[in-house]
Amino acid sequence: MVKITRRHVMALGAGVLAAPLISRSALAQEARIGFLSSQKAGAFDAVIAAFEKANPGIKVQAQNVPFDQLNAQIQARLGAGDTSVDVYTVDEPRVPAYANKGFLADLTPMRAEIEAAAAPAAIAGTSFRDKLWSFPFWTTSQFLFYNNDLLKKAGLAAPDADPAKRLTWEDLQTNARAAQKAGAKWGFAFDQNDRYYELQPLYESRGFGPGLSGDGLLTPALTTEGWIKTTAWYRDLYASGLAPRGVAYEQMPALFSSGQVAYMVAGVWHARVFRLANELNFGIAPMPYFAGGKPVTPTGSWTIGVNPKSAQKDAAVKFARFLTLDSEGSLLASTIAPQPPANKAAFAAYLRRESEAGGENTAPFAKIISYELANTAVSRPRTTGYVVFEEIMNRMYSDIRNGAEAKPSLERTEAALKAAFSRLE
Amino acid sequence: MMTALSTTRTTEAASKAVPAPTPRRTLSEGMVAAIFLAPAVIAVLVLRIWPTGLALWQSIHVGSAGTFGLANYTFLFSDPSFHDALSATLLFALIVNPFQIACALGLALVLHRALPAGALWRTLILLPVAVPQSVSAIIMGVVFRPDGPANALLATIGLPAQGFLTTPDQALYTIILIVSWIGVGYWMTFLLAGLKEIPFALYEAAVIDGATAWQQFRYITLPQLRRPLTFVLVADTVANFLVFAPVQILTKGGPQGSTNLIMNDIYTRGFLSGDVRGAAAETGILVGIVVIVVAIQFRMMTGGKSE
Repeated sequence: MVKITRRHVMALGAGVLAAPLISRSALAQEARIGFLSSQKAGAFDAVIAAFEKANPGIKVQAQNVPFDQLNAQIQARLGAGDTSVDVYTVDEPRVPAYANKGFLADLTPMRAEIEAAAAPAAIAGTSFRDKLWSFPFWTTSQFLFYNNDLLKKAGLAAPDADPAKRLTWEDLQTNARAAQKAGAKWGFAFDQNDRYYELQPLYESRGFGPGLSGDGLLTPALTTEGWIKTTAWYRDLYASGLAPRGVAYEQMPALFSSGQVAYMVAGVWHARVFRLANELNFGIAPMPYFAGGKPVTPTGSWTIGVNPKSAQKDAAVKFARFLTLDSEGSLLASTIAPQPPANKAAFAAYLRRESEAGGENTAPFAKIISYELANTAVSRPRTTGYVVFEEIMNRMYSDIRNGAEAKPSLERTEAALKAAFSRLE
Repeated sequence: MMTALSTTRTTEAASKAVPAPTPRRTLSEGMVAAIFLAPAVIAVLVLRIWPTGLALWQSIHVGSAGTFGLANYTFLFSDPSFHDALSATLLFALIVNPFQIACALGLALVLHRALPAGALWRTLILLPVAVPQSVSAIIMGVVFRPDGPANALLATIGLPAQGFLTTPDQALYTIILIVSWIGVGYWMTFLLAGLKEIPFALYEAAVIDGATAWQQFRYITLPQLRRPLTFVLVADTVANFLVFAPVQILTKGGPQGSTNLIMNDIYTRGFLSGDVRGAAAETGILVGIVVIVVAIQFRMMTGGKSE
């Protein structure tokens, strides 16, 4: 029988204790920073490579999670003091909540530098209580994408690219029905089909507000007649079979690229996937509005936050600056995931690049985005309650899309929001 | 007598003559046991007791100043989302536990008989246990999709397509089916082992006394299975209170909150809404419920021993 002596135990224990020391000394040679985002793996490869080349001694490890898990990851990891995330993407309206929780390093000392590089609207999105909490990174807008072949089959004219002559939702619905009758599998779709971001303009276009009111925007206002009417309109798109149920956001672009959807309101960044799709003859037009209302489009996008507990804060800030304030880095970062950069110099180059890349299909790209950002863009509500508001609203839209009635859903959601807001500290 | 004495003397002399090597200091049996147990005990302490304690500690702190109080608990009892989660969890527990145990017992009884290719059936039934829960959930999610194989099967026998996970009145039952598919084979193995322990003589005696098959089951099999049944009942109940992965992967608590089991509600509250203390209080309530239910079950299963 093998006897276990004290000496054996001690030796084993010493070995176990020493192991981390060995690996730690090896790591001390270079700064390694973690970059958490919800973009697809590889989206930032080019910009990371350029950054590492310019900054030998700093290595960036990209961490990619699905959009739906990003918030949970941030709350769980930063909330627990995890330092493996140094730099991360923060959706603009989440800035107040994360700043409030101490998840974002204060960047106010860099204000002059940031103001010189970024567009003012994007800077507003990274401010909270007169301080700057993240680097402006991207902005967004939406297009009405349409499938030329499916429209032709139904004898429909392509919608005008001129923002002054945009379609009304009423006309779009009629046209989408006609296209569906003529063979399109789906007449219309929202790409972010159950997200507040893309649906907020429906309410704002008719003047019904963002669904939040009062001091600090912490009073839910979802059960007004206007909100009920507009939510019922959204529900009917799916209940009537015009738009597809049960398809996740991630699968929506493929539905359009494969020629199954006649009209789709979607993020401008999808233009890249569509122009790379085989035999897809598509066009872009401005997002519709309700007759009698005013044109409103969604905006706001990712910003770059720095973990205040980062052990490599200097390297982290360096990388964040390269992504946002450096015009070359900023343009590189919006290549695979081509969202409009907030960096002014990169933005102009981006518009040129994206307008030309798709030939005739994307010719009005720059014109529409510039018009929308200057005239129709409405930001999501900036409140410390936004994170929980968005989570609860998106769940509600998902239920309504799958058949739940508008009015009781809005009432239940309003009660849930009141309870959740009462918990904000 | 004499011989015996002399033998003793010789041995003593021998042991004196050849000095035994000084024994290396060995550890006592208790010490060895402690060393072998240490990893498990440390793991339980660090991974279970410590976080639970931490959660309970957080749950009695209130406000940004972190003063003591029970406001986290009183809030929960006024929160509609918690009410829904509690009623969904209790409904789920009331159905899923008897259902799984009945299925496990039925399967164990069938497999206990000498079936042709018995080992094959046992393997097939136990197979879902070997697949990670998340993978099982994804596979079953495909099966129960509106355009999935389950509806195709219904169509071939002339039944209308069902909504399954997408309709609020079927989603919870679909989750019950899915977790049972995953779990029944596992619980069955304990009952099968219990069945193999029952002495055959008891059945022989009963047959001689003219007992019917039902009487044999009722008066021999069930009482003899009391111990494994108690274990399965308690362990299965606890496992079903803690169901999370299938819900998170397949429905995220929807549609319309119908599958918002309490574990999912805790996750949503803590990590999506960022209300960590509320989630901690809810964890405290869940632990309390589980302890009470398990205590009642133990009493019921061991109380009637004199029978």
